[in-house]
Amino acid sequence: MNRTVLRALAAGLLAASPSLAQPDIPGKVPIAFNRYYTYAEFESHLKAIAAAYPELVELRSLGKSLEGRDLWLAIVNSPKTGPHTSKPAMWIDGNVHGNEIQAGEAVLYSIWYLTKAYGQVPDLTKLLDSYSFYFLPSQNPDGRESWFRDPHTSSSSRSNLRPVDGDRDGLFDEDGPDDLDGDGQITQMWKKDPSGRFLRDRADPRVFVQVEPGQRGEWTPLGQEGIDNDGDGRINEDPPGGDDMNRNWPSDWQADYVQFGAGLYPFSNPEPRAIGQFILSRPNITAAQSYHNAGGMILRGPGASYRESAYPGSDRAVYDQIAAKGEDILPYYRSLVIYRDLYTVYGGFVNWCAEGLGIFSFTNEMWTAGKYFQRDITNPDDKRMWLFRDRLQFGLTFKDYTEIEHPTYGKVLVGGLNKWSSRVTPAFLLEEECHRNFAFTMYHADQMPLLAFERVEVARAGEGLWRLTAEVRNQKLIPTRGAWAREKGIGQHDLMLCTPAEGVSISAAGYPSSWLDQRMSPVRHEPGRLQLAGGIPGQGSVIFRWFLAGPEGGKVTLRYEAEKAKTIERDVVLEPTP
Amino acid sequence: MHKRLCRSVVAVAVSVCGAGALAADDLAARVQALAKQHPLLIDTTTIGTSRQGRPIVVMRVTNRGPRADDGPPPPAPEHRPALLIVAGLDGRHLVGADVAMGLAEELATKHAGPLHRATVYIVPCLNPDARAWTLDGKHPKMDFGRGQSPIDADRDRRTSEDGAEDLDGDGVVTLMRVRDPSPGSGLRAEFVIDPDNAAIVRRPDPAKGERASVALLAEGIDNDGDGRFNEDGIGGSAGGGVDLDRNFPYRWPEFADGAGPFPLSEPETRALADWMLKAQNIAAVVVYGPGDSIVALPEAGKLEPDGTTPTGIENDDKTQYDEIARLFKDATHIAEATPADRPGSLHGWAYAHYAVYAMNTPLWVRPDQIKKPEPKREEVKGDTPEAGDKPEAPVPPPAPKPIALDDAERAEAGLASHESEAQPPAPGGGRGGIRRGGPPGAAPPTPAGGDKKQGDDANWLAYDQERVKAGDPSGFVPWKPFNHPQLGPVEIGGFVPGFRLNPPAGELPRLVSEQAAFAIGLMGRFPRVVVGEQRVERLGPGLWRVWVRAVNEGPMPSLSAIGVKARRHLPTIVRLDVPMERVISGDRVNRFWSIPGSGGIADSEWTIRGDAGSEVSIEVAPSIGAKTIVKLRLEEAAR
Repeated sequence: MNRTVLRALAAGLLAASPSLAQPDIPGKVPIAFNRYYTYAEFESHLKAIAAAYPELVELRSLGKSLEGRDLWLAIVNSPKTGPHTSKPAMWIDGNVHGNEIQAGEAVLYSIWYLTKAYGQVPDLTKLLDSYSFYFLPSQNPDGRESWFRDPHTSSSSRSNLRPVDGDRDGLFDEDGPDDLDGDGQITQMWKKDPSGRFLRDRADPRVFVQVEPGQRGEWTPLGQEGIDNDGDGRINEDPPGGDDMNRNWPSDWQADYVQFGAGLYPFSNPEPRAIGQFILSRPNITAAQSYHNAGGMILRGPGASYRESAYPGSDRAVYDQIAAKGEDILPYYRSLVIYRDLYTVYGGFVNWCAEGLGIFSFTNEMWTAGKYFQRDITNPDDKRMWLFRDRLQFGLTFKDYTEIEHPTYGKVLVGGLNKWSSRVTPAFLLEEECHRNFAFTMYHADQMPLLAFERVEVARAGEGLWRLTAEVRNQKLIPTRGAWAREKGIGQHDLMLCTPAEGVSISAAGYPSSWLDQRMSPVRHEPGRLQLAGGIPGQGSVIFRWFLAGPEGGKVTLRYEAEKAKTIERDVVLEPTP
Repeated sequence: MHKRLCRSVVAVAVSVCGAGALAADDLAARVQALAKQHPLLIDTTTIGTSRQGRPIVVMRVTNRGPRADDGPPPPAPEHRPALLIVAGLDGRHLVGADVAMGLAEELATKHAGPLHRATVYIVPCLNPDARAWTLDGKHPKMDFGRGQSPIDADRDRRTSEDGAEDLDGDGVVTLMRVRDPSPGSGLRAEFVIDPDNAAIVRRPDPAKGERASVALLAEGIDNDGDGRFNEDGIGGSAGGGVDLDRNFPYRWPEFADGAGPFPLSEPETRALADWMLKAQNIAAVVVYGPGDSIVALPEAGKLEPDGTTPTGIENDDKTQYDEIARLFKDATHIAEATPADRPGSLHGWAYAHYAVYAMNTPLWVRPDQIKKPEPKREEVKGDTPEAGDKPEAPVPPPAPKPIALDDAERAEAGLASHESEAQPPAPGGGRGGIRRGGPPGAAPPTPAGGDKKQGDDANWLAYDQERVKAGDPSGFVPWKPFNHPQLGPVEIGGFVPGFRLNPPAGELPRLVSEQAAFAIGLMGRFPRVVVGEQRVERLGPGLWRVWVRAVNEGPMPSLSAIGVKARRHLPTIVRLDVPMERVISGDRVNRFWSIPGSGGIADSEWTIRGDAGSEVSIEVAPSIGAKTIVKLRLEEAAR
């Protein structure tokens, strides 16, 4: 075998290698995704990735959280195909609720996977050559940090830490839960009580069972661990924070009395304000995902029933097609609508993105009960859940009951399921969950507009007069301007520029309805600068026509510009197209 | 030098309603001069900076001097219930700042007594950039009073490229009427010239066989060659910039012209909101700006689609609002005025979110819109001390009744909206610009039984004639032929921008005393929660029952219905300073969301353990006002 043959063989092997190499895509930054990270650890991972892939990643702080943490944004883009601002971009964030932690890992995983895949995985390389990405692993670093650092339940530390006087007594955050047994968790308190309505299960004393009517119990639940810190006779009535930063966005924002946690006004908190300013400055953002937990949902807006009109039929069809693919990619996840299937949300983040800015946006609620056993047991009963906790999590999500002396109640038992016991994806399943969600957002991203001149033809229309017909096609599902954006004047019009060279001039312009149409609907003004309020539809095209006066061999340049598509350009020579 | 300075201060002070009024951009100097003149009554705080770097100032008018009588020492100014006046959101409404300044002066000179018990905050101009632009004399007068942030109103990727122009060079941008527009001009005839009064352009009356023959548009050319006139820029149909009174979070008209990219997007609106949200003592807000919400009160009891936010006012606030309206009408005699637009407005936000009584007044209306009660005038014939102060309202001549253009029609014509209408310019549907209309219902409601008379061109023309007779310059530019470079022969004319919003300077003193009377009346209605009767009863050895009563002596309830609903304020809190283990019954913290006005009571009762002869301390903290600490001795002989 000579060298040339060898080289050819090697080249063939290399060309085939991506599929062969799928089990291992070597990356420069090792990060394990079978565990969770604090925000400080996020920061060092992000810096390591940015240092390892400087040509692909720009790390930028959008501003500071209330407690002064940087809101890290990773701009992932392949500069050899243009700056990130020149391409349609997808916004991907997570963890606006501090306790919904795997949302952050999903974003970190996406940055990690996409950067190492570039140049090794052809599909993702092509994707990153066509589009740019804005990744924000946590919208709420303070809430995330507190969830790891302080005693919490799986549901607390949702808000940021702006003090809110929850019980309206003039004092702020003065009576939250307390870690009475010192285990670093907030669990439950039980009091032995002859008139109680609960008994401990004989087979499994970890379980408190409600007694039948007429039967006597022995225990009364006293809620979350805590004391009456402010001596007002109530316990845990004013915990830290209170603003729900997923209610602090401008579209359909409603006051705090309509929806607790709304904040003082839209963008009253520094985190949404900094994030919002960036998003407003980037009209190329075309798609968005904001990860939450839990419930296995692929959610779209609106957040309130009366906003359904913000999703006109043609936009809704795009949402439905992307979400349907999501249900295939993400087992046990369902495609749902926020107000209809979850609850009413005013001033939510994806509502602002979708309804305020015309960005095709989803919010995934990560992790769902179906994933515990991954068979047809979508709603496992108590017995199975204890099996999972004992035999798969080895008891790590349960704190055994211990007796403590409570200042108000006397002797009470403290214990129960800890903050890792629900909502959070069990660590050994985290990587799969991150990967599937990443795969879904990459599919979503891959539906952003991609334009091409499909057919350009010149025909002689008379003495020194030429008829130029050009079709611009969008190969993807998402239109360059959605129907809602068009209706409400969100963003700017697309432009089709026809620039004649010296000696050529435009006599008329218009839109034929098809290639068979000999006539056209005329454009009376600025025939060289056609404005398209509706852009190019998803998986559709627009046909343009000009009548040009000029000699044979004269030249014109066609250029299509859109906020949400990469600019395309074509030089045309005035000679009959064969 | 010092003497000279003093003299100039005095000179400025007396000119608060004088020469500078309505004509000069010297507000900042006037504010400082006034504060210097009344050091114990007026001080100022800068709460923010406008987009172009001008300070936004709040004047605090309250009596920081000692009381003249020997009553108890007054509470600190920040604990006195306060009235907030905000003017100058719209650069065209010059009268607002002048009346606000006059009000500060009048309160300081004539009403120092009540200012021991109440505070008045005055923001004389929230939009100093727009005021400066209106008054800088560097450009023709235009119908534009917004912030100057550039906006691509027609979304064509060119920003503010096609505003209006003063084509005929008369220093004023008015309107153009085009008779029988030719095909290809892009214009459509939709109006006729009134056969009885050629100054008036109106809709044709098909019943009379009239045929549309005139197209109307703002004075200007099609600068960008897109076939549309004045669709993106100052003075055109969609004016660019942000209307501060559409930029507040309440019912924010997302996507509407002038609403801004998000609520409180402007430095001016955000500075005011942040400052207001920190102030704990504001009980009412009066906004001086185009449009009224007092003479015709917003509808009571209607809710927004969210099911909680009021569209107008709460049912249970109507009684108080009726009283406020009565005070206002007694002070001003204004009988009708164009309703203020509510979505995104400051007065709407101040009511529905900030949760205090709030209203908007244009301050000045056409004389025929003022109705003094006839019988009263005859009874007191010349005896009233006010008679000399207040110029008699000229009786308007019987007005012809042509059909005036309403806002929608103007919008269709691609015209700037009627400036006396509170509705900001809506972009035209066809040529005028793309439609970015607000939600249905954004248009101001027509007052019950009212008509469009106040927006009626004929009435304004009649009033203009009166003013010309009185020696004032005319506020109407007669139609004159003009050869338009793109349209050929047109006529240019119409009302002078600002004419229908601002009175002649001579009317300012009357407007100031009207608003002072209203402000004093309003402050007299503020809630005043005080500690009433206290009782101690011995139940057994070391066991006591204790009562404390809070009484609201002011006419207004301690919190309005919206205040109770919104819970932005604290309730009236009666807090017992006894450890929980000694409390046998009752809450340590009692919350009273609202104590009715005019003597309404709120009783707190506790059973506590304690040594005979020992003292317990109880704090009574009203929602608005200073708190009181009561010390009670646990003894048989209770008071």
